[in-house]
Amino acid sequence: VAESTVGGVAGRAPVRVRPELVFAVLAIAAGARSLVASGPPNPYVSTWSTIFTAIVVQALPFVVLGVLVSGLIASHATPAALARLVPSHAVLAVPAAAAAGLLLPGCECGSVPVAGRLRSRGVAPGVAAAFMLSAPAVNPVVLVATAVAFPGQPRMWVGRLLGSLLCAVVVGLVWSRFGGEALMRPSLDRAAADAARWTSFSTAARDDLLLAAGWLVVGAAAAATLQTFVPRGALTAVAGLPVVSALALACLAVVLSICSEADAFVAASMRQFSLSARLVFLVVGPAIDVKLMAMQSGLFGRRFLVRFAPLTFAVAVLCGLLVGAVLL
Amino acid sequence: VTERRDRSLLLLLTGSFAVWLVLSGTALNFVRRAMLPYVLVAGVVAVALALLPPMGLLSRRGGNGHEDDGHGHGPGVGVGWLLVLPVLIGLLVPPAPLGANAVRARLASSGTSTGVYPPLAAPVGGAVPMSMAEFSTRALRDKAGSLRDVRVRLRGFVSPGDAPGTYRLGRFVIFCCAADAEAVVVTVTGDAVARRADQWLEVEGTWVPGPGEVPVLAATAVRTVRRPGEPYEYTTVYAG
Repeated sequence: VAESTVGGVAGRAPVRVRPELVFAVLAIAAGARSLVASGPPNPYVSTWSTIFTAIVVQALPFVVLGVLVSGLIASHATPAALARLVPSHAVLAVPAAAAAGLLLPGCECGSVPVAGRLRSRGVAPGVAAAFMLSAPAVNPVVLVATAVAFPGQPRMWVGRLLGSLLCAVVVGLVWSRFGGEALMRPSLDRAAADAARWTSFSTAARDDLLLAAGWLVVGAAAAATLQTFVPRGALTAVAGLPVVSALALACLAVVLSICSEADAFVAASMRQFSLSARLVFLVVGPAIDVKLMAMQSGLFGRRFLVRFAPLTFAVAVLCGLLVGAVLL
Repeated sequence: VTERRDRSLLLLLTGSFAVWLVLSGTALNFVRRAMLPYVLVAGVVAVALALLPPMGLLSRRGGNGHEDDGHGHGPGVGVGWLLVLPVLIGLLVPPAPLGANAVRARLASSGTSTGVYPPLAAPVGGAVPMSMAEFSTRALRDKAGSLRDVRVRLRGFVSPGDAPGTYRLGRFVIFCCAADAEAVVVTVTGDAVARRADQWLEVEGTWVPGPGEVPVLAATAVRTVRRPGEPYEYTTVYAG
């Protein structure tokens, strides 16, 4: 069975890593630890590695859930079945996909591989993008967490639901209109079309887990670096200014890369900021952050990211502000 | 086949790292306790995907190279190799919770609240044991002054204080993982012993009402304790 190249740019030989070498490095590191770590570690190194590991460990269950769903799509959802399920016109399909996001209890890291797998099964880019944006933001777990974090303020979780759905639909429709098929690279199906279901499932789940978790490592490293060296209090100076404070919190959401299940508690603790600024934080966070950017560029390509990230950021900020103005 | 074996080895490495983090308790330096079962299951799934045939290491065809689908022209594992990085860092940097160095950048903000606070817990051995988050919230925000003249017992780590002769006792509150941690701190006065940063202490004392963002505790008894297995507080009740 001949296999095609995964994610490899045509004409460039893929980098070969010798596993023996990697595992030898690990063994040496284990041995060297007693020598290196005899004194107390540098505090920045210590903080950085704690945050880095925390993001990876915390995201791992959600990535695994995501790749299991993605494996099921590969093994069970034929393009024909999905075509029957998904309305053919974007105006219907995008809102339907955004609403389907209510069902997958995960966070943003899991929905990226699922969206890639949906693409490989013939789902249009705008539709897959709408699902990818809404799933981490509006599922029941996240909404309950938001309600718990803001007791007595049901408008916050309602606002989050409406703002994120609106954002997913708007981005999905814009992408359907202007995005084009080629911009959002589908995940590769490496199992033969007539392979047994288990083979298709495990091939897709293994490929997606390595790809998504590998890029998660890149994103976690970036987020940990920003978190270690940029103090959070730097933003409180603008807390009183209406639109500026919302923009500041939107940027903070991108930088922090907190899981969508936890961001409501962080938002709840930022009491200097208005509720509408914090709603923007909640709408932007699950849609786009540093960690997601790494994963999206890895799975869908850099050309996707440079268009999708600014679009999503702008739409999410506007949706958050709009819903906040109406509701809060 | 090499490429398939490499994938299996990486999944095995990642999965067993996750399982080890949970079983050894090390994971509590990174995520809250409620996350542990999910991390464990994720690790087991990764190990299963690494082992189960036909793709995994336990496949009889896998090792012999009868089915030549990866040699030379295979896709390669690519970015998946980066999964070695968390394990490597875990080996090189001793896993530790966030400490004194991270306090100033992540201070929780105080605020006003009209909330009604539940009654204090019963005293144990002459002092009310209390989480740092509860103490800080009551001290800064409870208008009824429920802490007045109450002897409390707090547990946290030392970070440098603002005035000479004082230090801060701190604890991180996390909601999900250490990336969302916020520091809750209390200024301790009246301890004659010089304490070093990141030392864990159990401090008994009473709240000193006053202005300022950091509540003050006048210590009457201080003893050193081991770093707890659960270094973070997890409250959500006192978060909002």
